[in-house]
Amino acid sequence: MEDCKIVFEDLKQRKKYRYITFKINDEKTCIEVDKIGDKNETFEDFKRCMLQDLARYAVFDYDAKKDGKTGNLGFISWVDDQANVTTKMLYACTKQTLKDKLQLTAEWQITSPDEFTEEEMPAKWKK
Amino acid sequence: MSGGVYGGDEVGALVFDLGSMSFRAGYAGEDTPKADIPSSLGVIEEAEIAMDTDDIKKEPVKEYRIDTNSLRVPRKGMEIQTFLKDGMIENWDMFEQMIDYTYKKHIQSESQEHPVMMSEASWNVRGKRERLTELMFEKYNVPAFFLCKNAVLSAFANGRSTGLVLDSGATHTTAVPVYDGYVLGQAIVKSPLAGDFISLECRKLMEEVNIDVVPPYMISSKEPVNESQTPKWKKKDIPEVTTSFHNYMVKDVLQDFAASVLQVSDVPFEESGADSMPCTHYEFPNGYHRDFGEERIKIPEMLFDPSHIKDVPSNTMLSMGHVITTSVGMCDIDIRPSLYSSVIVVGGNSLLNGFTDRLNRDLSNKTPSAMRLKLLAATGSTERRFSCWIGGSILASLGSFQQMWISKQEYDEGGKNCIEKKCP
Repeated sequence: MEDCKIVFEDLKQRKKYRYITFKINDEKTCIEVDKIGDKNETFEDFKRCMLQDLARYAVFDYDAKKDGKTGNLGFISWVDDQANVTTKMLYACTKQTLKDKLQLTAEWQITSPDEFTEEEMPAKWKK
Repeated sequence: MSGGVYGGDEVGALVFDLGSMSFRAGYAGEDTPKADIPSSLGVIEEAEIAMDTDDIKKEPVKEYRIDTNSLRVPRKGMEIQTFLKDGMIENWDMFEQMIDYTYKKHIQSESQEHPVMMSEASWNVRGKRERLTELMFEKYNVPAFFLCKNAVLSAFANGRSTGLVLDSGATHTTAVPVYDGYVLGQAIVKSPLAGDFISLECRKLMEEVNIDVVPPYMISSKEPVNESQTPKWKKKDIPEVTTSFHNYMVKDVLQDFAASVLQVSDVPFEESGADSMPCTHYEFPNGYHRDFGEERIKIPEMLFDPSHIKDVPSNTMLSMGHVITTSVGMCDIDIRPSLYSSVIVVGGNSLLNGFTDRLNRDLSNKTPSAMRLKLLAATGSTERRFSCWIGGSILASLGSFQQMWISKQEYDEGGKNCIEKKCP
């Protein structure tokens, strides 16, 4: 859990990355960092990365070029409708813990690949 | 929390899910409940037992018949009753009987050894929650207890912590908005148009077309007859039963009828188009069989367009689509898009053929076109009927959940009020 926070601060404060994805470990005891997206990756790269798995959390910096603005940061929960009910349940009820830890409130929940487009992104991220 | 007492999956927690149709019980972590017991109980009152010569007037002794097998045996003077009213526990005596029975027959273990997670109606009131907590800790001595709103469990089981849960069960259809795992209590909308209503309408239909619905318990033998011919069957020699028992058994037949014959039309129903509808054949328990044409569309249409209901002023009932839009309309404007984008459909009544397709259509007509609408419904009937139980089962077995329980110790220190703090 602490790792998540440290990596997240790197993204938030120092704008080091484009996105971070998180997963729940196989023992179902802890949330850990899964992948880190390089600064010049795009939304499409991010999407591809997320869709490889059935369920992930992520933080995505929509507009990392403009420095100093943190308002464009958002929390994403991705749980595929195809995932089994245990996974769905696990990710849905663990989410709040991570959100609290990262102190993020804005959230975008996605459950099928066709919702995963830039147009569907909550408007306030694009400011 | 006393550290590490309940670790991982091995707590052997029990999950109880109360529905107006049936009561589901089983171990957390399993895929389906161990027991699915009708929420209706058979009650036999033995008023006169001349044992004591004391002048104290004795309470009539009540004997309870629980579970499908003993409930469906015709007995003299057995009334069918339920302990729930409006989704909440009303008759605590019967409820205790039910729990006793479940522990004894299905769980086959001691209650003090298993934490209990129980689902409750989203509109449950404080008094009843406290009483339930007290009962579980004082009478059953459970080591830990948790109450969870059924809409939250259903939403979680669909991978969402925010969404609108449409639960169309037996006694009512409700729309419950869930936001970040919490129920928005002030925006719950209920409608009586649900499974029991459909059964009632089927019954009216049978009366109209002069079909005598004979439940299987009355029939000893039958012979095949041609379509729409008077059935040939022999009556079983049975004791005189109560009206409530007979009605319960008739309802059972009608539920089967509803599940196999009724079809929700894709588009709003019109008399003229009805003739072209394909017919479905149905055979009743007594051997009578015939085709059903427009009736099969007409009855479920009432769920979506209450103006088709006879004898009731049309504006007093909310259709399925309306229940949802009304509920969302009462929520903050900022969260409406996220509610519409995850409408979760659960409950046995939503298994009527074509239910979700029609709901989708009605909703897209009622919502602004810019609003993204998405209906989520489990495909399997087990998942939809038990979604809430499955949710509870997984939640109670999660490692991260174990600190959420109200432990016996906390109860002893804080009393029954702790339920409001720990299980909001």
